[in-house]
Amino acid sequence: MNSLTKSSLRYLFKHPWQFGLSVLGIAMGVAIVVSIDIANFSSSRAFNLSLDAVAGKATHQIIGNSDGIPDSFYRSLRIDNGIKNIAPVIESYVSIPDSGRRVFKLLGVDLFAERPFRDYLSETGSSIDGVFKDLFTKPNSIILSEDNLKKLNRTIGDSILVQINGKEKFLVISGFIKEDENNRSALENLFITDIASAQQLTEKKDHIDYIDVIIKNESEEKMLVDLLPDGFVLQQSGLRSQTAEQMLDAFNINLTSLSLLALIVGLFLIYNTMTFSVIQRRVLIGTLRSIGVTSGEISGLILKEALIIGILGTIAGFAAAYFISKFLLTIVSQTINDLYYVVSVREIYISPAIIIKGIALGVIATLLSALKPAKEASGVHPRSAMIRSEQESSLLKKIPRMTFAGMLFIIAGAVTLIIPSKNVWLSYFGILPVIIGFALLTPVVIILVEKIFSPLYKKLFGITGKMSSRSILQNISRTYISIAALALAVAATVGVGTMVSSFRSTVIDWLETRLNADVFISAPSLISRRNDAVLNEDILDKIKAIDEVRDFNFYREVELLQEGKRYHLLASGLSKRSYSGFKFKEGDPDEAWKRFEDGEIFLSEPFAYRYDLNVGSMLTLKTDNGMRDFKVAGIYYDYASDQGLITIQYEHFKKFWNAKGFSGISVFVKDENSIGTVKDKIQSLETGGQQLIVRTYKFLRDSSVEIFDRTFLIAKVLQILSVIVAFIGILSSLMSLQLERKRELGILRANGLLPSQLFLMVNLQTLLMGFTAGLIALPLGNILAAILIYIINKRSFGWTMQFDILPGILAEAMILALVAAVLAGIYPGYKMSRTSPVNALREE
Amino acid sequence: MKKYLKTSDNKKFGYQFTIFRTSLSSDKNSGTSEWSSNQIYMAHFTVTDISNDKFYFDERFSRDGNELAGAQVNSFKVWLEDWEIIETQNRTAFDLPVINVRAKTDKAEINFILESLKPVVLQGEKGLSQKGSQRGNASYYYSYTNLKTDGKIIIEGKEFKVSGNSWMDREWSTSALSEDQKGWDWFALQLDDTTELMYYQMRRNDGSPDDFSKGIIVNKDGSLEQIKKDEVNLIITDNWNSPAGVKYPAGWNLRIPSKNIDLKINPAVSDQLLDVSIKYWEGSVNIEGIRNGLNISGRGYVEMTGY
Repeated sequence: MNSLTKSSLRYLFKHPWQFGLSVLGIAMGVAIVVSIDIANFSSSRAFNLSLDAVAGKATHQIIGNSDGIPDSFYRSLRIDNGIKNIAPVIESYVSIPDSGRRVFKLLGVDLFAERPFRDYLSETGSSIDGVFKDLFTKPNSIILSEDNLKKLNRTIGDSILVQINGKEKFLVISGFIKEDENNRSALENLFITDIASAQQLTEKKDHIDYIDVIIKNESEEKMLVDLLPDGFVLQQSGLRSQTAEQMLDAFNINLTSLSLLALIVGLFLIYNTMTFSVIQRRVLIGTLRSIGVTSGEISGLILKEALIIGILGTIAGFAAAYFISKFLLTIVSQTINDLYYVVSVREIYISPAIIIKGIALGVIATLLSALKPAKEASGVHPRSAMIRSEQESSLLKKIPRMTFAGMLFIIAGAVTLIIPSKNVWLSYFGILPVIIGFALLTPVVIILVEKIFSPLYKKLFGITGKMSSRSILQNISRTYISIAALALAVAATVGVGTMVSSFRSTVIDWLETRLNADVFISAPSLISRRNDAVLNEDILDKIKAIDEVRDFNFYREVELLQEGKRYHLLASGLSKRSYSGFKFKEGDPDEAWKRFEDGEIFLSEPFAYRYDLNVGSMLTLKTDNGMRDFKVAGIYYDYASDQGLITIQYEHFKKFWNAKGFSGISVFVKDENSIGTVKDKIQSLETGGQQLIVRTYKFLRDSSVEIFDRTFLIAKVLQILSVIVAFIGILSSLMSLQLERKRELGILRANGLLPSQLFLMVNLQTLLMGFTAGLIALPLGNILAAILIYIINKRSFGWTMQFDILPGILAEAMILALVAAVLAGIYPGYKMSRTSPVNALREE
Repeated sequence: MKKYLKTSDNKKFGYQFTIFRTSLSSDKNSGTSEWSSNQIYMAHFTVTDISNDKFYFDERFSRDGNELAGAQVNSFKVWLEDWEIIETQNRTAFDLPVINVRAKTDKAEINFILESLKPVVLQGEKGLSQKGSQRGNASYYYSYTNLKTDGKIIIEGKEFKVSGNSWMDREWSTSALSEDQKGWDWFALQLDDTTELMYYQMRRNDGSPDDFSKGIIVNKDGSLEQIKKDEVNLIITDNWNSPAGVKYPAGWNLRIPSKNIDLKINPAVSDQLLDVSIKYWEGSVNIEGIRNGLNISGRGYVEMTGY
């Protein structure tokens, strides 16, 4: 180790606060980005693993009609056509009420057909006594992993009460499978049962869900396709997970966008930290230069330091990410369960890409952000480097240029953002110049604020006030970076906060118009925002027969899997009084409803956006009688699903699809006072074991809002995390700033400034800095919100939202900036006021 | 069903087709699904291409739910997916319908019409065949020892018209072996003088023949002669090692002095091992020997389990 490296290390150790905070700042930046990546990756991987586990070695699946595949079709494939590598599957979900509503996938298989498909079953399949015998001969028997057996606190022979499609049933444990490395993830949330039990439990009379197939070559595939009746498709196994992944795409992108925002804040802080550590040592660097150290050696030294800080920060960041991601994962998987599909994520998965991204951020970004300060430090003449005023005056000279460049950056960002495109990444790319632009405008704002506040400060606090405000300007090369970083952090919270609250009020308005009935009935579903469970059709007749019921709506939701896409089709039996609940984005309402009644379809806004469809476009749907074209009669605003919905009138739906039952029924009462009575009457209907969820308008509205809030909980969490990152950054830079003024403050003390005056001075200064940052953050925050609402959400989901500026959020932001600044000033103020002038002035 | 067949140009084949049905519980499955079942079907199908020294085998399982496998009396039919034994005409021969036997795998396929040439043979005591000293170690067992067989065999895409004679056994039981028994060697032999000889030797754990070993001779006119264990002298003359290293007998000298029978029995193809869920050797054999002082030849099937 040469003496230069030693001197740099000594510097770092002599300034443990600054060193520690730099590492912490980088660590937090890395931690947030990495933990979001981990949460995203783990949840989609958990889902894929569970799909793969279920698909096993199947290369394809035969997907049937909306009500599945008849048993007889499977039989005819096997017997009449002699096709052997096929296996029938029924797949469902069960939840266990007395185990925290844990959800398991119930996989119904025919063990005789299974051997080529699912490895972990082969053990069980080869012996015809014991476990297998019970599974086969006793209805509702299941096998599960040994691990789950323990977790559920059950033994062989015990029964479990589960809820399946809204009905309570007992399952009997007939055996378990020991986990090993290969089957662990497959078995994690799996109950395996015989196909007969599954059919009985799911009440899929004479039907199975799909047929797994192993196809070896194209001729086999062709032969099989030729055997399929209309409406049946043969699709590749991978497609199932692909469509599931597509479903999550927009959600993941939005999460990533939040993490990117945190990343930008983090980068800024890293830049801030590195710049600081160089600026602070200009005198030292000047000394080194004047005793013959070359400029190359100086920049090498600074980069080396950056590397050390970067590496330490990255390591700490990964460690923190591990814990943060565990926490985020519970939120993310809750949201996925609310909105998309049932998945239980318990393992944390890390991909090489995540590690590379984290390292790139922590180490490379740190190095890059050290480049400019390093170049500056090494490029300066040794003598002028030692003069502090030099750097301040040089920055002051640059301000007009910086301001102009800032404007240019903002314009460049704006241009990038208004390029018409569906590309979300392009919009992120546009945010960056806007942020840099604002950062470059910071010095000019500082000058303006100083001009306005300097007289005020002087008036209020006398010379102490005047000095504290002036010194912001005098130290502008340092203060502007801290202020810009704080401003950006606060702006990010304003942006995200405003976006969420705008979205929220849009959704509430929409809910209030759309939910225009009084009582809503559905079957218990495992996915909150979707009704995957089905009500028996006779329930509607029973509801109609209730005296107080004036009118009703009903609908049936089906999933159409076609050409690798997953469409949600809503067949609505709407009473005319519900028509007003639909607000059309495109299409004349009267005309649209008329054509809807004639069999044309409506699309929700996200659906139309996603597939580029307009009123008058044709959409091909997979009906139970084959593919069929439908004309679009209208496009309506809808926030129920980011996947988008297709709506068709129920009568017309029944012409093309066989699906039975209803997903939901809503009821209008004759007299508002009878809502409670109607609710009670419906709840006490004889339903043959079918559980009904009966909710009033108010309850449904509130619970929908609750789901919404849960969905955006992650945004809140990230917002808080990025504030913490920002706070640490601000703390570190403000503290360094003040600590660095040791000599200056020492002179002031020596000249008679009281410790209390000094404390006041430091804090007045940071307060003003916080105010300046707040002033910049408010417009920037609203611009970020507008970008999130009008561009990023629109491009991700296709939703139109109203923009709501909430004064509360703005006030909160300003308070946040002020509090952060003041907190950051307390310690240095305290420390400086306690230091004796002699020590402060002593040269090293 | 084990049989020997040949084509008009003297290509020789053997086949075995067995359907096993197992009831997993005495109670009926109370499930309401079409798939609900307590019956498992298993089938073994082999073809021995004697001229080419090749052996094809396959195994299948199914439940009887969803009509994937099953058995019915009226319009007689036993099937496991597309492997089936099915009544073809409204015609019976010696109380047995004329049946069609069909089975196929990727490589081998058979499709035969079978018509019995002899009356039913009730094995053991009026059809109750005791296999061990303990209760339950017995089967109801009858045989049709000679069925005229015509049809086709397709091997690796090549079709052969064949004719010959089949042998059909039908048994049902609770268990087959007692604790001190290890397996059996079972001979089903069709001799050229239109007599058939069945002999099974139950093997004890120490390898010695069990007292419950027995057999029967079916004369040309269908009359029967019982064979007791003490009358038989069965000597192994050759052995064959399976790929897994298990030693199987592969040649026998079967002598029944009381009946003036002295037969040399040799596998038509040495590897006729069914490497399925329960491994066993069952295959076509050639017979040369002397009966009542005259040279005699024949063909048959030998089944060996418990090795």
